[in-house]
Amino acid sequence: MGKMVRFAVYTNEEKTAQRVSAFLRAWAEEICVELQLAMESGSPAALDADGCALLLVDSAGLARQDIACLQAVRAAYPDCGLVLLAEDDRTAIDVYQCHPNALVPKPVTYSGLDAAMERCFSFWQKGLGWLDLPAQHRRVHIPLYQLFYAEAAGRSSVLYRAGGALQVNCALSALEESLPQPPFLRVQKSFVVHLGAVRRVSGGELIMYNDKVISVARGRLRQVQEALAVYRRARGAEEG
Amino acid sequence: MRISVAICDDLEEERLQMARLLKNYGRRKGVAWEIELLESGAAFLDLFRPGRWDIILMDIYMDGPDGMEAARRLRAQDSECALLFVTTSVEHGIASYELQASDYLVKPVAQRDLDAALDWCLQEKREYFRTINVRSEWDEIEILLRDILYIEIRRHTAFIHTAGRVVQTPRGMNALEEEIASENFLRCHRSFLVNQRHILRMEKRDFVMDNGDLVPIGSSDAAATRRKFMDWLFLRNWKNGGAAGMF
Repeated sequence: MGKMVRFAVYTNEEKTAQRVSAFLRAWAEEICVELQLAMESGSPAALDADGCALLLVDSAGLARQDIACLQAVRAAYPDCGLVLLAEDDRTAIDVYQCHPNALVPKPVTYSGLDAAMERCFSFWQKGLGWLDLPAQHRRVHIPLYQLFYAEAAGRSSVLYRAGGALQVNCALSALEESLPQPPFLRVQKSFVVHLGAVRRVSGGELIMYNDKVISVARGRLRQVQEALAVYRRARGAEEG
Repeated sequence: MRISVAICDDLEEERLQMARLLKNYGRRKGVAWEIELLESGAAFLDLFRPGRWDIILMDIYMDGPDGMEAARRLRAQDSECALLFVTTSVEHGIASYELQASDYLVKPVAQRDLDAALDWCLQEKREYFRTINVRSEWDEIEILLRDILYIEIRRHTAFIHTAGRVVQTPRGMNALEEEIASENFLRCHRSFLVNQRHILRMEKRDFVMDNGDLVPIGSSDAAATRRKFMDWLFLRNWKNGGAAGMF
């Protein structure tokens, strides 16, 4: 995995804190980022941006001095991104004064938070986990989240991602050991999959993002179904 | 350098008022504007092409494609220009962030509000507006960094290739590289500094530029150069939303 990145969340609403915390952890798992999360409450005047990659601040009840404080933080910590949570359009307009890097509408959803994280990539990119493996005549260097699934090919493995397939000189069992679980899961002796790349489960088979069908080992089926249910619940259930 | 600005508003009075405020700012801060006034979202979209305007002041309530729709179509093609909404609407605050607006000014706009928004824009986009000054024969020439394709050194002379011309200046590569010091530029060869924004594709021994020129990749550091370019490309795709929607 990459270096640990620290995010700090400031909100006085318990429900918002729970949602943001759960979604951020799910996002970090999906994208394979090593995340340290600090949940804070109270006035943003007391916020501590030292060593933070990203501050997520709930704009509910922000006073003028809080906005001035956020402006000062932006100026003092240019390497720290700012994401604001806003409930309505008027608040969203008012907080332009803080020049946030992104805004997440409330109630917070996984997709809203995911879009904000995308805008803030440059602040957390060092936390990204990478694969660095030998291949024929070169090395393969790709971010972990781009790996959708891997298939055993004798003493090598074939990595499948959006850009196509790559063969690497690494056995699937060794590859599996270097992958975080979740989001990766061994589903049978020849396949490790990223749970986010599974479109659906049909009987004992996984239908992948590219319509590839991967059969699940009978002994692992229950574990795979449970892992998928947990993975999906963490991202989508609250939105539905 | 002149900064090109589009003011898109269906009310002539409002367009002229914004132009006045811009000129006031320019006079005080020494910024030269090139202002175009557009009376509708349709007129804006007719004239728009990526890179045409550096800053866009966009009203929202207009006939035809409104300001939000025009901004959506703009962002589909140009993620770099600064977009400021200037409107009576207070109903598009949240949506404006999805369009990467730099600010959202509610009419009537005071001079200090526009000043603050422009201060931020120019600061936030400083890399986009960066230039270098070079001496060429008897002239001092200002070149936008983003317009440079690549720089080649031959016999103690730098040949700065831009889309429309080649500027020669008696400078060494190290001095130029130090002055430019931009993450967009890559020293890919002892005698070449390439602007990665203009690389069309990478071949085994060369970068193919968007004007068709070939820029050689030094053989001693070829693997590291390719890796640096791939890392830069990865970062740029993320910034432009290219890595979104993985599954």
